[in-house]
Parts: sequence; C-alpha cells; structure tokens
Amino acid sequence: MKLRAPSILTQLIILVLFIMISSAGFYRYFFMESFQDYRSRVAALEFDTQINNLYQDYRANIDSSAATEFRSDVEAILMNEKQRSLASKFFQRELGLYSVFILTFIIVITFLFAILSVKAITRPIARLQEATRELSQGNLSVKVRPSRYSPLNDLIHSFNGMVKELAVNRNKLVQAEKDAAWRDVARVMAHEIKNPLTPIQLTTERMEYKYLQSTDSLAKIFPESIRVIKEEVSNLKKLTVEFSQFARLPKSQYSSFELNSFIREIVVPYCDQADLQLELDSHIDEIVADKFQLKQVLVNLIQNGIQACEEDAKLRVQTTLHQSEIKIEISDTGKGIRPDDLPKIFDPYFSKREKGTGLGLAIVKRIIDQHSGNIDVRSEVGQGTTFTLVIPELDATIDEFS
Amino acid sequence: MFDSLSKSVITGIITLGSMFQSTIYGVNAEFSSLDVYAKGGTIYVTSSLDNCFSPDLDEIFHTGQPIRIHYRIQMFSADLEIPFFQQNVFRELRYDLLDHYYFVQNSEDEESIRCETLVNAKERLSIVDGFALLSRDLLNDGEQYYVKITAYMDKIYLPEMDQEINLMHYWNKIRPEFQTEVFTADIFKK
Repeated sequence: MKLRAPSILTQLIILVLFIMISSAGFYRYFFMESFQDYRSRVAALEFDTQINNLYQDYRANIDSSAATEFRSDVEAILMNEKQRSLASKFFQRELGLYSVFILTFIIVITFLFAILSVKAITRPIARLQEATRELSQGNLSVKVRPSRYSPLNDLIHSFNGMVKELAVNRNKLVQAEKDAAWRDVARVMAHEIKNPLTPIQLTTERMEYKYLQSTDSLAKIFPESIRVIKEEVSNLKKLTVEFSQFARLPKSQYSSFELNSFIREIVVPYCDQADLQLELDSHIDEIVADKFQLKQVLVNLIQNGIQACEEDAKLRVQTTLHQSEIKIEISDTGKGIRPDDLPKIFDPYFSKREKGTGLGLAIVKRIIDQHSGNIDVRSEVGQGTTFTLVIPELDATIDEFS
Repeated sequence: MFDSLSKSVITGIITLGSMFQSTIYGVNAEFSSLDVYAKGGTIYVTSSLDNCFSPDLDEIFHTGQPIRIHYRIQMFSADLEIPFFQQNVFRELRYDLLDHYYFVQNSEDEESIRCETLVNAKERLSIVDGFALLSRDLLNDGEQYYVKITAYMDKIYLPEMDQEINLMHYWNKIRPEFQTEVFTADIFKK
C-alpha cells in the first residue's frame, strides 16, 4: 500500500494540536510541579511540631494563672497553621482540576479557531482550484469570489482578470473564425455558381444571335441549348441542396432495421456501373440508426468509389461485427487519394473533382459523428481507397437512444 | 472590562467543569443497623453509621476545628407522614493540637470522652448507642409505628481559608438514613 502525505489542512491541525498539548504539558510540569515542590519544602519545616515543642518547653515555667491563656494562644496559632496547610492542599488540588478545565477550554477554542483560520486560508485555494477546473472545461464565465481576509486576494484578482481577458480573446477568435468561414463560403459559392452561369450565358447569347440572324439552324440548336441550360440549372439546384444539407443537418431519427438487406437494396442501382462485391456478416442482425442518413452515407461513398474508378470499376462492401461494434468497409480499385490530401478529405469545400462541392464527405463525417461512430480512410495512389465506418451496436431501445 | 469578562469566563468554565468533576472525593455513608428496644418503660435506639469518613475529613479533624455529626431520630405512626416524635442528638469530635488527644462529646453527656487514637474517636462519633428516645406510654397499643434515623453534618468555617466548608460534600451531599420495619406498640410489653 502506498502511503500518501497528509493534506496541508491535516498537517496544520496536527501542528496546532502538538503545540497546544506541549504547552499544556509544560504548564503542568513547570507550574504545578513547582508548586508541589514548594509545598513539600514548606511542610518539611514542620512549623506545628516546632510550636508544639516550644509550648512543651515553656509550659512548666509559666504561671498557672496565665497557663490557660498561653495554651489557648498557642493552640490558636497551631490551628491557624493546620488550616493554612489544609487550605494550601485544597487550593492546589482545585488549581490542578480547574487548570485542566481551563486548558481543555483553551485547547477546544484554539482548535476551533485554528480550523476556522485554516479554512479561511484554504477556502480561496479550493475556489481557485474549482475555477481552474471549470476553466479547463471551457467555462470562461467563471469568477472566483475574493475573500475579505485571505492573503490570496491578489492572486484571485489576477485570476479573474486572466479569465476575463481569455473570454474577450475567445470571442475575438470566434468572430475571426466566423468571418473566415463566411469568406470561404462566399468564395466557394461564387466559384460554384459561376461555373454553370458561364455555359448558360453563352448558350442564351448563341440562341439570341441565331434568332437575330433568323437562320434555319435556330431550330437545330434550340433543343440543345435548352438541354444545356436545364442541366446547368439542375447543377445549381443540386449545389444549393448540398449547401443546405451541410448547413442544417437534421436531427437523426433512429429506427431499428436489418443492415445487410438494407445494403443489398442500396447497391441495386449501381450494379450496372461497377462490379459490386458484397461480403456481409450474417451475424449482424438489426441495427439502430437513422435509415435515411445512413443511406445518404453509403450512397455518397459508393458514388465516390465509382467516380474514382476511370473504367472497370470494382467495389467491395463488407460488414463485420466486432466487439459490440458494426464495421462497414467500402473499398474501390480507383486511382486513390494522395497522402497529402488524406487529412483534408473530410473538410468542407475540399474537393479534387471539377464539379464537386466538397461537401459530400463532410456531410458523411457529420452523420457518422451524430451516430457516435467513427469513419476512417486508407488509400494508396493507383491501388484504391477503403472507407471504414464503425457504428456502435445499440442494444438499447430506440426510444432510449433517441 | 476585560478583567470582569475574563473572570466571568473562568468562573463559567469552572462551574461547567465542576458539573462533571470535583476536587472533593466523597464517600457513601450509610447506617448498618437501627435497633429499637424497650427497657423499663423507655424505648431506646441503637444505630451505627458506616463508611462515613474520608481522608479529607481526617485532615479536617486534625485542624483542631470541632466537627459535629447530627443524628435525627424520628418515630412515625405508620399512617402518617409527619413524625409524631423526634429527637436530635450529636457527636462532636475535637482534636487537641497540643496534647494530641481526640475528644468526643455526646449531646446526651456532660463530659467528653478522651480517645488516644483517631480510630477510636471515629468509632464513637459514628455510633448512637442506647439512646433513650421516648417513653413507652406515648405509644398506643395496637397502633403501628416505625423509627427513622438520619445523619448530617454542619458547615464549618475555617478562618484561615476564609471560607465555609460544607462537610456534606464529603458524603456526596446525601444524608444517610435508615428506617425500621413497621411494628406494633404491643411488642414493647409494659
């Protein structure tokens, strides 16, 4: 067993107790013992015996008429001496007992006072400790109340000042991040919108030119121009949908469903675009997840995989159950992702494709995070890429999880 | 102001402490017996008080201050709570500081008795022997009675200490008492 040093409070209390008990012991020894010694020495003088002897020596020489008075006087002296001795003994005994009472009282009062003093000193430290803990958890509104009698007030004021400064700086930082994000969004939006607008503008100008020329070819180019405009408008619509999805990802609506059959349904539309291979673990029963969002994730990853393969696309979708976690792997044999780009692929607006918004994988990551899961990617240039989704197997009821 | 405050605090502490502990070591004095008998038309009482002396009391005896133990003997009619007859007697001990004798004075006697040792003196101090309580004629035939004896000590004043000592503290402030079984006056035949 490892022994731990006692706290500062305990050490101080032990120190105060030690001082008090030592003082009490010293008092008892020095004063009470000294007084006892003095009394013994006075008793050793045996005044009463000496007086008695004096009386016995002189009684025969005293006139009988004065003998009674003499005896009475000597007896009175002896009685006084005896009473003084008795009084001294009683007084010492009372002094001893009363000193115990008073010492006990002093010890109790000093002990209480020491505890209060130590508390007064350590309380601000405890407050500072608590405030530091809250600060480390991100609470920048924390403020330590100064203590009127504490010597740590300067430290407390410095701490409060530091927290205030931190809060101001964080607000500035947040504002700066917001500004940067808006600039990014504006840049991407401008770029993405400009791309379809250029063909639309060119097509309409061409149609206008042909119309003004009144050539026969107008009838020929009209359907083609309409198709181009429709396509570019569709691209613009798709762009706005993706932005909207990323900006406001809806709250997951959990339900229980059978994963393997769900995947089999999803891959059907892609069977003619790629050689799809399914390796589904039969031990996986039902899972609890947002069906729509999970479909969005899988479709996104499958489409990415197909697009990564220039020709003869081969995709493998594998599910496994491992230690209460469900693992879904989607592998392609495409061109792969460069190592430099791997850390950035889940960042919003990061895309290597000409017509990509860079929001697809960012949305996938957010959905998986919302499901308390994890997404990982391995890739080799020229060999292919594997996305691994790990979702906790939820045996709780849907209501509880929701 | 500080003086009076500190005095009040110390007095308070001592008073509080004295509730739990005292410098006086008392004894539990008690009567071992109480015999009531008739002789020649008079009813006599004999009783003995045990365990009534503590070392402190011995020291008080040796100051030469006369110490007195009072005995109150009461005759009760069994139906009444108030005694119908009562007598008080005392035994007083005085130590002669010059000749080292102990003198015991009985209230019933004129002369005091001289004892050589404190043991003898204490023995006499704690006994009521053959005390003539009352005449048999005062009792009604067929009526029931009982006798009760109670002992107590006075406070004494020690001039040198300039204080009174309540000797009853040495008996734990308890007056020892003893009472006989109820009897009928007929047992004392005329």
